Amino acid sequence: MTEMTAFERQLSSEVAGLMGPVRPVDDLAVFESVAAASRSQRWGFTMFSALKFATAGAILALFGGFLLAGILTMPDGDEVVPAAVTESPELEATTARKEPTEPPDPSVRTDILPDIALTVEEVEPGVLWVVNDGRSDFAFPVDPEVPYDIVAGHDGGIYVLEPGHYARLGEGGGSAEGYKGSGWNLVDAFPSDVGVAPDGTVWAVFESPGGWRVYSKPWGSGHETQHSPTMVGLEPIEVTSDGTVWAVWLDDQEGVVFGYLEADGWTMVGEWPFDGGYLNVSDRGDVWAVIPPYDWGFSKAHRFVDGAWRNEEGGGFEPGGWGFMTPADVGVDGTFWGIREHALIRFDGTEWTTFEPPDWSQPDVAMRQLADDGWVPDHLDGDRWGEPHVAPDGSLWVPSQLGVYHRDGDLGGGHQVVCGHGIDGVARFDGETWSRLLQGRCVEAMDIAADGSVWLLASKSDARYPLAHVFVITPEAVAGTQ
Amino acid sequence: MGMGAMTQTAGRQDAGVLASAAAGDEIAFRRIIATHHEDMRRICLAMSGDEAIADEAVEAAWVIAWTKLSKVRGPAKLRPWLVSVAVKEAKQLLRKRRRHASMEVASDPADAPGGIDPATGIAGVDLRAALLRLDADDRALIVMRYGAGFDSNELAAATGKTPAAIRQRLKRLADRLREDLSDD
Repeated sequence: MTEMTAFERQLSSEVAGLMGPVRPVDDLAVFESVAAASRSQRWGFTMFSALKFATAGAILALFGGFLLAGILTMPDGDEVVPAAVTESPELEATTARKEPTEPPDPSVRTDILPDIALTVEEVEPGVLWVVNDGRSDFAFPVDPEVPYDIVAGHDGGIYVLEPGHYARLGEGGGSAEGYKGSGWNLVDAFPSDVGVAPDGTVWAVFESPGGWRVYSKPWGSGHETQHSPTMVGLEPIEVTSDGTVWAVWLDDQEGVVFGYLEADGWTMVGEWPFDGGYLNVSDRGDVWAVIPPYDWGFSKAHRFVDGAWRNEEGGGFEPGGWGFMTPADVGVDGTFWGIREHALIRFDGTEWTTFEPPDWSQPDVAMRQLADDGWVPDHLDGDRWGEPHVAPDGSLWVPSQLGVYHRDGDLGGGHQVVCGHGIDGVARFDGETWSRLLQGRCVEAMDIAADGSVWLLASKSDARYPLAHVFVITPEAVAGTQ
Repeated sequence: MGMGAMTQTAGRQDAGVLASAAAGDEIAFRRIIATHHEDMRRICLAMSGDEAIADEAVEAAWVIAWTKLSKVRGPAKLRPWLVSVAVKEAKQLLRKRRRHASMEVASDPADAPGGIDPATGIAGVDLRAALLRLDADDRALIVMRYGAGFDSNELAAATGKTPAAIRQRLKRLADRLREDLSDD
């Protein structure tokens, strides 16, 4: 739960001072102003159009002969199209990656559980709570909100991220303290995105003066290496199963571009003509850009095909829309999955399909638990689903993003604070049916290992923080749900 | 459960107002204005430090809202969307203003409480100064969180980032402010 610290309370007070007093609102006056501005814009557009028309007429009168000659001699298909982003109904297999290297190492560990040297507790069929020996819980001995992501590395390891550190489960003899020994040497090191290559090299993005930069650090080594250039956008990197590192960066000559890292430096694949966004690269080389709805824009999904970005909309279906901000995932067969409002959307290379999850009503279990703890749950809100994850078998796992809110008088003005995220647990969709696990627990983050096991950072016993408890849904349990 | 029923009813009403406003209903749109205008204006004011910019930004935001409201899916998205539109307009105006007049955002010292908070040992005037040293994006995030009470889901919707990324960012900003104050 997000109890405010004394510093945050003081911060709220100072911000309230900056915001000034509340003034009465004359909604009629505001509306009339809006209506007038809208009329003005339309009139301005009309005038501008008329002006353009008149100008075009004059130009035509002066140079009509030349223009006409030019049009008549213009070869077929010489159309003006946007420089980079094009639309086309044709879809074909896409590849933008470099030439295939060695195939991914298939010997991914599936025996991670015994190596952790921890006891495990089955909290529901097939779902294991990984419990530290001799400890009442597995929570990291830090701020309960701090562990914020869990990564299934391509080396078979499971990594938990917290500021300045990444913890590899199984290291340190099962002691939570032992997990703290793999920090970054960087000042203010706070990895915002992490991927792990098959050789155990941990790749991470850090904010540093002048921009975001990519660093690598072989597991157990003392020092990290910085890989220029400066990253841009939402600082994501993608580490595919063959160890290739993909990113978006700022090139001195080309501007914002995307590509991959090789031993001799970064190789540009193409332009990144978007305002931020998420790069998603599948193991087979499908490259997608998911552009969130920055400010008042509308999100889009673009695929990189034959050296150009293609807006994958069409057929009367708009996959974006405001609020579609979830980074997508692409399956091994190239199927693109995203979240649009409360539904899943899928692009199979030909068409978009929407899958509505069943109405699972309110997460009563968590609400009751909160009430038992003396809380007064006010309402549920937030996007039902978070970032989708495609499992090796093609099924889709999505954590809930639904939060429980209550009113906290200390915040002033009855502001709402969230006391739980992902309260609906995690759902699995096999293409036809839905199943749900960890209901009533808040899921902070999740990832799926190559063996199909699903790893989650979630709350231990109820809807409240801390969320640093590690759960795993075993491949056997996944098979059992089919 | 009574509370839940009330919330559901309120949700349906909100959805109805949003749908009507999106369809061009003046009364419904004015109701939205009455509900959100001050929220938007005060956030823009805290972000920009300029009353004129705040007023102009919110007016521009309502013009956009009048034509784009149909794109907002669900009443829960409305507030973060409106605020994000206004903040974007304020940022653009702020950039333009600085380019043409080299105007710096400054707070009125008379408004600053200035006293030392016994719980933190930090002087209010120092904290406010540290806030004003943040860039516009970071200050907007702080204002939306601590001034308007946005949770990380709403902030994510307003900024196009994930809730987890927002929580990281807020923690970093709080740490930076503390460090900034310890340096003073």
